[in-house]
Amino acid sequence: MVLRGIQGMVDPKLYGSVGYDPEEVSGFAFGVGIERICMLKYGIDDLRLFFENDLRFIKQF
Amino acid sequence: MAGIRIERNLKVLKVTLNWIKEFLNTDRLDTLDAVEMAEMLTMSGTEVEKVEQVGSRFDRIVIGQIKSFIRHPDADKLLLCRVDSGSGELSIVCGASNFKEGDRVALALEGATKGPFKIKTINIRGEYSEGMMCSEAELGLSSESEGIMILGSDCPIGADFAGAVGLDDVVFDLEITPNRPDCLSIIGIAREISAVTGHELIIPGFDIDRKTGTDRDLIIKIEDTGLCPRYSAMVFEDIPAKDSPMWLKNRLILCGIRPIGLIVDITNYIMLETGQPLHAFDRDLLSSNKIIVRRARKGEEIRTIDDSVRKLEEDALLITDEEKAIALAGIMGGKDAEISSNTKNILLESANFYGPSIMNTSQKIGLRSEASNRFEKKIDPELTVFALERFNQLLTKITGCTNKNGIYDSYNRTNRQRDLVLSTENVEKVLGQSVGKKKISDILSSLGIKNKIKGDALEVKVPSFRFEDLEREIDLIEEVARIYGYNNIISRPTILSKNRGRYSKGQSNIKNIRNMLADCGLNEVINYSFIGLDEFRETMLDEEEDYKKYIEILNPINEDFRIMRTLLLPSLLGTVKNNINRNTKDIAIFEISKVFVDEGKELPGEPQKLGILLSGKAEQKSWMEEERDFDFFDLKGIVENITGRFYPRPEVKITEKEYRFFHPGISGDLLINNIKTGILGRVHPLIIENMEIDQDTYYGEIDLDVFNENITGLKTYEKISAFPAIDIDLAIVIDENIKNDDILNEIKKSGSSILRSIRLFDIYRGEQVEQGKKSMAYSLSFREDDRTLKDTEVEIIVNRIIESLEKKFNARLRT
Repeated sequence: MVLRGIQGMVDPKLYGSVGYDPEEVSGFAFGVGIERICMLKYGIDDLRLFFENDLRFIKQF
Repeated sequence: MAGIRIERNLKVLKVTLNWIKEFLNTDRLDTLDAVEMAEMLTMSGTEVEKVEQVGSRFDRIVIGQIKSFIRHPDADKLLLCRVDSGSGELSIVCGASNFKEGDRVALALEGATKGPFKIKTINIRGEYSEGMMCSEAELGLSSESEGIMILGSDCPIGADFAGAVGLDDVVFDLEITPNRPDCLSIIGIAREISAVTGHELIIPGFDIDRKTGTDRDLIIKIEDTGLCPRYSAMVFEDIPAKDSPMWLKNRLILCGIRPIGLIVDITNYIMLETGQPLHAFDRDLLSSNKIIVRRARKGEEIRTIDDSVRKLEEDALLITDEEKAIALAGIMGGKDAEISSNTKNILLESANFYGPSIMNTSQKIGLRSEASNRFEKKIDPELTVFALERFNQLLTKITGCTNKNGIYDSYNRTNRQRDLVLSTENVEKVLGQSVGKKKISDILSSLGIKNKIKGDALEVKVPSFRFEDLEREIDLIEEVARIYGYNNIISRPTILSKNRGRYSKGQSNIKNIRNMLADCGLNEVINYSFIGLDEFRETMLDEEEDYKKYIEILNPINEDFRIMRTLLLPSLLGTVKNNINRNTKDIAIFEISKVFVDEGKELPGEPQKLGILLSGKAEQKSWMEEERDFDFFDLKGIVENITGRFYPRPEVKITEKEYRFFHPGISGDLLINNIKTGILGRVHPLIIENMEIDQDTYYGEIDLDVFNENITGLKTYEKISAFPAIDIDLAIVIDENIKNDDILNEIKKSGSSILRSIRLFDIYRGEQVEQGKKSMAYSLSFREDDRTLKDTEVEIIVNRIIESLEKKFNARLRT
């Protein structure tokens, strides 16, 4: 399974709109689908199970 | 021989390793593994989705030569051939007949795979066939083909088929981010590989005569230079009719483009290689020697080469001759000047169009192409001439035809010079570590970015092909970071702020409710906030004042996601149905989510709701218990439990209120301390029937915002009496329609302060009481805090209770 997320340097343009000084602060951000981590932890091989509300699945947790 | 599917997925860029290698100094490149290269590309920001060794699909297929053939002695339609495999002659039975002695063919030897089958020696009507001569379709090189594939006489007999025809290659599927249109090409990717591997990028130079926009042979008139900054063109005459060579076709196929004919194939090839879309017009179908680039007139139409008539708006850009539209600029060519197998003379267009305009038109008419996909991302206008030169070179190589007229070029040049200063100090500040100015300079140079070290900074000239995305110093720092390698930046533990976040009261309550319900054996589900209009109507929400004002989605994915739900019930019923279909019938679930109600304001109301649904059996039959269906009291009990957890001594009441989606008479409002906090009921039998759920289903929905807002007061200690209580049991016969709640209220009213608790312990219907009545048995507990009660005082109170019940409900004491 491929664990895919995104990561990168925060564009300084964004700081302006939230009131930080881009000269002062810089940052890196990353994000990964929470289901992916859950899949790794419990050995789940199909992402769709998270969206089906199948009680045979839900009851296992 | 699994087929190579020709797919045009514009999100994926396919490039081949051998093609890329043509632009790299490859001395050491052979030592670099394709998978390793893919990893390096991904780590530097060009995501590789797939790497495929295409050659392995053609294992055990070699170039064979047909030596002789005769008719199969026992089958009219089969030929019996002797084929030289390079390592001995084989006998092959073949159904096709499109060959002659001496032809070279793709010969699948014993052991080659064809789909799920392996080629082996078989006996066909008394003759052995020791292999198979393949058609293009069988090789997966086209979707259909007639006869077997005949190869060029330059293919060496006995050689590996894949290697001989350019299929022994590695294909990378790449996802290119929208800010890097320069990477939508073989050369662009070669440049990235050059930067990460250190292999030198080699781009060929040319020397072709250039002409300006006006010439007696070709006049280019651009009416709107804003939408078309540059239009370059070349004219080729007397192009010999030839097929595309095998290697060219195969490269296109590997990159997901279907070969069509020599000229179109070369334009596509050059587009893939340089990133510059080209378009060839049949010169003889143009009305004059004048090309006009202009906006469409209102209602103007063009028939594009896919044979659709496109009606245009005035903001669309057209390429026209003096009489007619010949192309929808940057998107697709027109039928009226399309090249065909008879075309001898062409006008080759290599232009630059304004990205947002191309995107706009392409979206409006719903047509995206390889060309529009590139233009809309703003490609470099400096590319046009280079692409023409590459085309010329390739056409000459294949056909011997050379251009005599030079390049026509109308270029409304805008300033694409940008000088930036990159300070090494800022690189260190952002990356958290020093990179060294020599290293920084090398990284930028490897990406084709000219720079000069000056003191502790670099003076950088942004190249034209990166003009759109390298605007600021920080953009250069990003380049340094990704090529230096994010993985090579030393990890350090982060020191986070000491102000830890915490849940608000409301959030923490919801978290607790969630845990409580799970502990009660309910399962949490999560549904989409969208439902279909059908579900909405099926649950009769359109007839309920509080729930009928929904928000509609502007562009729903499909009909099942058309509106935002105003009540959680429809989704939860959907969950029930799906589970019943999978044979899970006993269901106790809840969902916590916002619903959306149109309140006539700019934004919809978004109250947070808790929906609880019980359906099927509460208990299975076991050695100690009888089976039991869920009932209203299970639901009520859950609600009381939750309320009691957060409200000190709450007064929980259910008052009757009709809702169209609930069973008449088993439908009410939930009041906590006299504030309406939710609804409870049994789901209407018609809904259950329509949805084919076919079992009693109970539903309650609590407004969590109201629930949380009204939690007040503290629990205070109530003194424990040292004196004994007197318990009295009381059974009354009463009309069926009188509710327990009302009886309890009446008992409390006449019970005075010494009545401390009431418990309904039995309901009886049957032989002992008359039709239409029921017997209700209560246990009453009396106590005084400061003394022992006398039996007689209790008796007086009990009698008073009985009297009032008789009066109020026509009840009768059961004896």
